[in-house]
Amino acid sequence: MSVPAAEPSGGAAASEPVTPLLEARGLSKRFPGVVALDDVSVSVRAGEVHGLVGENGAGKSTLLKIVSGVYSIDDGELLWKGEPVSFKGPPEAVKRGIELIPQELDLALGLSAAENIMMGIYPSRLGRVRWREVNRRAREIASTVHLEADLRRKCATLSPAEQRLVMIARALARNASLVIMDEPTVALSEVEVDALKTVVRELRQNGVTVIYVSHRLDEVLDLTDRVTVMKDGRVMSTEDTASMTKPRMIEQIIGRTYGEQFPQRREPPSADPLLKVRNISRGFVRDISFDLRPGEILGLAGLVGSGRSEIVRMVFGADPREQGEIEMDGRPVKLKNPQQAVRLGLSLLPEDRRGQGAIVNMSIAANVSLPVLRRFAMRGTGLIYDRVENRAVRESIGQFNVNTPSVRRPLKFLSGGNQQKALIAKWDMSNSRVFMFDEPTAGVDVGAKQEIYARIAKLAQGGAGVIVISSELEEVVGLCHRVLVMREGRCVGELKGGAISEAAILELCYAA
Amino acid sequence: MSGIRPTEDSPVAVDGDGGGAAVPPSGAPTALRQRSLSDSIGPFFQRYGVLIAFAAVVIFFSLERSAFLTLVNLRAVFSGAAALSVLAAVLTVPMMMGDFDLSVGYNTQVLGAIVVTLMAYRGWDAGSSIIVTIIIGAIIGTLLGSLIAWSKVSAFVITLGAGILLQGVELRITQGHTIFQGLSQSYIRLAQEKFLTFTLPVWIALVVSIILWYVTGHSVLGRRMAAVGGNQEAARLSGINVERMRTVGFIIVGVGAAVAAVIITSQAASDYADAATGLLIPAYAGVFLGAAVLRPGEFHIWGTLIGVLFMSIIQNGLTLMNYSSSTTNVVQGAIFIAAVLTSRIGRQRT
Repeated sequence: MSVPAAEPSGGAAASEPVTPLLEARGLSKRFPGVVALDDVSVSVRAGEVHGLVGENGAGKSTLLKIVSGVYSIDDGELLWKGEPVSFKGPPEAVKRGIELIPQELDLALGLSAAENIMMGIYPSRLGRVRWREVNRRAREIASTVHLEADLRRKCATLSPAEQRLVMIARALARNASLVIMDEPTVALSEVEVDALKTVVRELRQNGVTVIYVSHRLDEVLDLTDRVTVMKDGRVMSTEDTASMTKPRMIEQIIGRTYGEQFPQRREPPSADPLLKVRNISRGFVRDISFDLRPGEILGLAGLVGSGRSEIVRMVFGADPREQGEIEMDGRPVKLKNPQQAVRLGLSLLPEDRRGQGAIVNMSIAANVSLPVLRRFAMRGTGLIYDRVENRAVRESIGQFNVNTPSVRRPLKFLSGGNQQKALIAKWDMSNSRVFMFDEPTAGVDVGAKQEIYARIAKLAQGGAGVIVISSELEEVVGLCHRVLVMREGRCVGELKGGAISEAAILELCYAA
Repeated sequence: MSGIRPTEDSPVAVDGDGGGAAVPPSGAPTALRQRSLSDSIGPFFQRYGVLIAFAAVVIFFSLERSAFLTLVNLRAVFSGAAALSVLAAVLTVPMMMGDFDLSVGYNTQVLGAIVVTLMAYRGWDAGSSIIVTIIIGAIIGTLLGSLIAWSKVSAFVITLGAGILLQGVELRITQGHTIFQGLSQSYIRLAQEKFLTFTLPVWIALVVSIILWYVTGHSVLGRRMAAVGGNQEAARLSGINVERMRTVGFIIVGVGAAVAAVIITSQAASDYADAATGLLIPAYAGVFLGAAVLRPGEFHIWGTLIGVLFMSIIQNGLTLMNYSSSTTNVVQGAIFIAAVLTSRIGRQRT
């Protein structure tokens, strides 16, 4: 069995104080213009699943990056098994058994799953890698995390859930005693989330300690033993999860009382459809037809890989469609590339933020203003008025509470969730008439989610048509007027108004 | 992927210096102090390392040779670097989008042959010959750029082939002859004309740079190019015509090659074999040195200009000190590598 046992744990309910596996004492970390961590003290006990929650930019990722050796410490101490440590890079943390599984997985996509799992620890003889041994060991470890895919497949061909499991398996292969999971369930379907939870519970049984970071609070409540709430670079509290409730957790996270999560739904006025999609097909996605009326929020539900993203990409012209027609305002439109789509007033927030949405080395302002750049430029010469642009961008991202000292900073200096908010602001500014949001709240904190929902509702009230794709059913149910459910590339059902419920959607997702 | 980045994209540049030295248990405070010192020096070197080296070289040469820091010498250095500066500046633009143009030397050579033969063999006047040559440069850039952008084959490979092809075209035009007869006096005077102490080519290089600085740094076009360079797919999904942007990059190179060709042939008062083909490598040296200046990891026009000047000054200074061109090359190469390395020292941990 390759699953490592952590150091002999003192028993879960030890009465005397045990040395924590990991302890941070007064940690501080500053970046230019921002205090990312401010006197943070937290301890993680051996063998527990420790939840870590907080808004985007609350300092969770910074803390984890210090723990895993990515960042250095400005102030304070980090203790590993009671001894002060200061990692000079991730390899040192890994050597001691600390494994970070980041939200954006860093797998070698071109290599096989087995190679990824065994990366860096290939068994070899006389300098030759013993591939049979690699595959055998990888298979053994993969089975402990219920990864059933063929490990000879390239990682690029695995589903996001399987890729996540490959990362966990890799951590175990290197004998991790602390596994840190940052937003492990983003882009996973409900079933996959359940499977992942089972894996986490089994890790705990085998003595592996887990730090579990998620914006999905139900998951955190369900899975963790203790939970730490962070806000503005500080620790608000660490408590036994059993004594924690969701409303109280939310209040600690956002630092205020939390009203209705979803805005009130207003029925769209009866009008001619804004967008008419007829029989569009591409690859496994066949014959999709739907109308979108002004003021309407249409949900696309279904498992990851059921063809939801493919539909909006086709409509936006990001992928060419093999057949089918699209009409806007009753007139046929070509929509052969995103350029035409933007010109016609369509917006697409893509699912893959890092690969398709964010231009991380450009400034926040340049990212946000990109589709509407001409608006800030002198006619004829194309000279951009920086000041006008800055003001408009500041206003736009301000609606989503993106904290930044300047909009001229590179986008990469924002936390993942704040990047997402900035990208929503980008399309929000475009005056589009059809908005397509693919997983709009992925990695976004609970307070900001509320703002995004309100904004989506407002866009619809202003007469735009909105299509929302989400793996969080709660979101689809709370937000949409109408929901199309996808399964294996086909539309298998439509739910309206009061008929929309998580149960009804799930039933359609899985009905054979 | 046609993109090649000089340095790490990630804000979290981690150097793998985890050489296995055990951390002393009580060593945390000292480690802290040491790090904060290197933290402040690192970024400074990253930004200003090349500039400091530049200044040091200038000071060294002016102490060694009194002829170095004179107006006459500087005029010669600037005039000599003018064509190279134009080429390096225009090459910076596709480089921002990750595209190399390896054909630029031959391209310049062909355009030089064209502008000279139009005058010498066809009897055209200087003005129309120059204009037509610039148009041809733009056409070559358009063809090359569209081919690269729409075929999605890497620019590195396509321009490699295009270079060989253009070499043949040049040979066909000139038959390998040096052409010096039949050039009008007005054309030759172009390079000698002085304006505010410097020759016209120096001012042309400056104007080209200012235009490119404006386009790349402050215009809608430049912003879109930067987006393409940063994340092609994100740019496309923002409604940007990626293919068009990349093509425009090569059109700019084509026009720049024509301008450089005019400067070179006018300065030499002739068109001779290999007048421009050797400029490819020094031009890219300037571009990459430039990416190590002020905004580390980013290609930008002023950086490129500083890079070209740096290399030219080294050459000039060593020549004044009577070193042979073999020595000059060795020193230039070594300094280039050292400068690029210096700019990476600052890749410190955050």
